[in-house]
Amino acid sequence: MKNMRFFAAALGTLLLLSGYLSSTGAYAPVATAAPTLADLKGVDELRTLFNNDAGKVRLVLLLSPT
Amino acid sequence: MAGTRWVQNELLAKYPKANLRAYAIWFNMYPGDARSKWPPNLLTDERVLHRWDEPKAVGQWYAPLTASIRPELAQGSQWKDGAILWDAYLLYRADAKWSDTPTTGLIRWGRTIVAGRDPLQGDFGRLFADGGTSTPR
Repeated sequence: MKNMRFFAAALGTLLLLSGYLSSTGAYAPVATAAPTLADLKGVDELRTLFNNDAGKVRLVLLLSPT
Repeated sequence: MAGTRWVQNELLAKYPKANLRAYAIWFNMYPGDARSKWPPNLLTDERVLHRWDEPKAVGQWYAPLTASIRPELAQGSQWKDGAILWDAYLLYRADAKWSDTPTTGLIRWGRTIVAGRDPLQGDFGRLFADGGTSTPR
């Protein structure tokens, strides 16, 4: 019985602590915008994007989804 | 998939301030591939633009150019002049400009991404040695 009480008290403390940390932002995961997938409008769109990003190193990745 | 995950974890995540833009061009190559299978959680860096290329236009556009850019092919790569370049990367300098052929400013390309990853990792280390906030040439 004592063990159960101790366990319940420890669990409660952990839950309270996690709630406090989340509310303060100290334990919150880093938020990033979810990526989106748009349809490519031909090679010319990639060419335009590429040239608009001049001044940056650019990495073209050709990928399949599975 | 392994190559894409490696790009996210070993390049983009390790150089978070690098002055870089990546274009992830996705298209069907395996029988089970489909737009609906696109994995949104694999390449999550905000510097990556994702595009779905249903007709494989970019892969078909690059394939015939590979003969002329063979000198820049990463050591360990496997490419035998196919009709569609895929599972591949092409890395360009900051001053690269795409005119008729995107060969100007090409630093390196590799296929597969996994097979050519070591030279690419070396390029990132060299280009972004200061963390990547300056403009490499």
